[in-house]
Amino acid sequence: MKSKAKVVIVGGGVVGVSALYHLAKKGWSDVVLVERKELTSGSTWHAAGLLPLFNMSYSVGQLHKYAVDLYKTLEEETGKNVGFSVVSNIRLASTKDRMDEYHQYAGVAQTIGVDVKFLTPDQVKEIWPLCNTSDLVGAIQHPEDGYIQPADLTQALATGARNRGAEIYRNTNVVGIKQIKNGWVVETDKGSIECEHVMSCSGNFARQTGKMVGLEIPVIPVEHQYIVTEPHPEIQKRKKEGLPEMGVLRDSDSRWYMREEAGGLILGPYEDGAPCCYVDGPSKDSEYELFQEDLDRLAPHIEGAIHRVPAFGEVGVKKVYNGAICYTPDGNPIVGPAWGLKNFWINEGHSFGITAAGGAGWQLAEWIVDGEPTIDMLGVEPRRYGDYCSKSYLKEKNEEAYRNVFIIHYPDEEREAARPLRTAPCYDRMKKLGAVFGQKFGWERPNFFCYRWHGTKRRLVF
Amino acid sequence: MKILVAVKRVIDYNVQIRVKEDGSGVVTDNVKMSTNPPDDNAVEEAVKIKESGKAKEIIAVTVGEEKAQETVRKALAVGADRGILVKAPCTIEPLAVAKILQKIVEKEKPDLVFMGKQAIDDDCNQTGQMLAAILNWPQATFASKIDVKENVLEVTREVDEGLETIEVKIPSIVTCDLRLNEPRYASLPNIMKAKKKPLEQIDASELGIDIKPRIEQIKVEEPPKRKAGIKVSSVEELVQKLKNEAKVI
Ligand SMILES: Cc1cc2nc3c(=O)[nH]c(=O)nc-3n(C[C@H](O)[C@H](O)[C@H](O)COP(=O)(O)OP(=O)(O)OC[C@H]3O[C@@H](n4cnc5c(N)ncnc54)[C@H](O)[C@@H]3O)c2cc1C
Ligand SMILES: Cc1cc2nc3c(=O)[nH]c(=O)nc-3n(C[C@H](O)[C@H](O)[C@H](O)COP(=O)(O)OP(=O)(O)OC[C@H]3O[C@@H](n4cnc5c(N)ncnc54)[C@H](O)[C@@H]3O)c2cc1C
Repeated sequence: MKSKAKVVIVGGGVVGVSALYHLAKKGWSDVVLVERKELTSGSTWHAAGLLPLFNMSYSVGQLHKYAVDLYKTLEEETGKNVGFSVVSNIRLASTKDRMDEYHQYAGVAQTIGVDVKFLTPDQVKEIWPLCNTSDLVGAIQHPEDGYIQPADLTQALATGARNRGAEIYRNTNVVGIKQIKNGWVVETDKGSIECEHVMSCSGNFARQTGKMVGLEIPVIPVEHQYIVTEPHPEIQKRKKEGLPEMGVLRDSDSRWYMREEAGGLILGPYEDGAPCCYVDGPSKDSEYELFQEDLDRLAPHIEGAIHRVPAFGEVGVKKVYNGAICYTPDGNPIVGPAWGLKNFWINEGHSFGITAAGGAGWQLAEWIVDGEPTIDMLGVEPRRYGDYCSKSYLKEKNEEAYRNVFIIHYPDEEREAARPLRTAPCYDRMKKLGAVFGQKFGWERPNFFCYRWHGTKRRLVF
Repeated sequence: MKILVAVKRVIDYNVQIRVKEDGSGVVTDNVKMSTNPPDDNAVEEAVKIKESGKAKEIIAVTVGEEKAQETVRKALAVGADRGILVKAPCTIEPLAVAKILQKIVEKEKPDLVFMGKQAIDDDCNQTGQMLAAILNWPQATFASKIDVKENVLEVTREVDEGLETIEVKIPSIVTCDLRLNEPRYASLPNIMKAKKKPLEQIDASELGIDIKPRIEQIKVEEPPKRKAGIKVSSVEELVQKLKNEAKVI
């Protein structure tokens, strides 16, 4: 193991390995990654591998777009197949409001150069004959996205990084991080490494890594499940006839994703009541971990899925995966410099980490090597958080972020959970005057006044 | 004919078992649990017999904590008609389970009791045999094929020397091997419907039997960690190492 390096990355999930790859690609070959167990043994190995381009945030949208483009080139570069199936992704709309949201999104997509098509219910039926389209208003399609094999992707990125001189130390645990003049010392159970920069990519361990340097990194994972069925004769028949995969289907109003898997189907719902997990961090031996499934919680979404795709209910359930998926209070990852600490970089809180890993690594490499990112990173900026994110606040907020994945995102959306957290002395007076509050950095601030509602029970939160 | 199937909730076979720091057992908190695999074969066989018209009712029974009823629900989802949960502390030894099952057999009067050949958590391979002894019923263990005939079962058993075919009189106890059949998966509508099937709960303490442990567990330890491998540079080196160091060829 080296005793000196320019950058030490903590954590060998897809996110950390992608950051290593991009630093090496940018010409910094003296970079190392430290992983406590095996690469991908955290959340990466069991991910469903979807690469959704859809995102309302300009920052996240660009990270995703970059990643989808990059992943297509990795096999040629590294000789490793990453199992990228470009099968397209269709998002359904059952209401006019939902369709309006898609139209608003189309503006974001156009700005950042993502290809989006609008489909009629009949066009959906053509591509997805097993989908019941009778009650749909319409849909959008991303022809360029699909799904990938997360572990193969991570290994390909690792190969790309190693080929450029980067080193990866597996079965090595980071136990302490100390600031010194001009940099850091990363202490592991196999020795110390002195470096200029440290990047935290520790997934479900984010808060534990943060504590080593006195940071409250606001990440607590939530349980997420997906169901895998046995093969369905109809899908097997399509395969035999040489027809293309129907692609990824998202029913936003019933809150789930679905895709083909080995002749069967995968269903992943975003339900109410999914609890936070690893609240005090995973156990020190944790690797390749899954939790007990809970289908009861998913019942309304399963019914919705069977209504939409009756075939899904016609075959047996082969396996249910329930694993930890990282969340932050607003649902976006935390990518950039830590607040108050020089040359400490945060790359945590990824809930679509397979998709975001490419872009996050790319921008952090730009930021570290050239001093600034090349796209607007405001939406994922670490400094939107701080010490106000207590554990109890996080638990409520992160569960809210999870159940809100598929809500209609109206402009200037404000969310209700765990509020008020911090109030100014004038808060009560403002409220009496009809203030409708929003939250910034934990503080309640009047967004506007709505005196017509003053005195009534009705709550207005925008 | 009525078939009673015993199903046990165990740590899922895919989970990497972790031993508790104090050596008092293995970690079960927040760990994925599922049905003991050969019990799935037992349920499947009962369902097949019912489908062939030779059985009228299948009752799935489990002994364990409140949560063990998930295992019964799973059996109900693939075709069992009703379920029984006998509530008992989670560490319960084969003899105690056999005594509890005896009480259930006396109450339900099944013609056949199907069980797994052994549970993957404690690997005891005792419960079926003990139940047969207590009930004084014939037993067919390690079944890899079952034929229901007039008042008898023809059972093929997997034994060290190969396959043995025996005949047992009904009523009897059969413990099932993994090669008996291919358990089916429940569809989601059936999983949902299973929630509405009757599931009776009985407290083990109400059965008037002694289920106290007879075995004292001294320590649970992890097996020694596997050492890291080495890379050999050529086939010759590999062959030489297998011959001289590992002495396997
Ligand atoms: C069921 C499920 C389905 C999912 N499906 C998708 C999907 O379809 N698409 C998608 O984009 N995302 C999906 N995700 C999310 C995705 O899995 C995660 O966002 C992604 O894997 C996060 O990667 P990571 O590298 O940040 O974390 P991890 O993969 O958890 O990696 C973190 C690593 O850091 C290591 N580490 C921690 N602390 C230390 C330390 N002190 N020293 C050394 N190493 C340390 C850990 O051992 C671990 O290997 C899904 C998640 C779940 C649960
Ligand atoms: C040229 C210019 C244009 C600007 N335009 C805008 C703009 O269009 N929109 C905008 O939002 N900001 C704008 N700002 C910023 C805004 O003026 C300051 O953020 C704000 O005035 C902060 O007030 P302060 O410095 O007095 O705050 P502080 O000194 O922190 O405030 C003093 C006290 O006022 C209370 N207080 C302050 N603001 C609020 C509030 N919103 N709700 C409840 N209590 C409060 C706090 O309790 C605090 O104790 C602009 C600033 C400049 C320089």
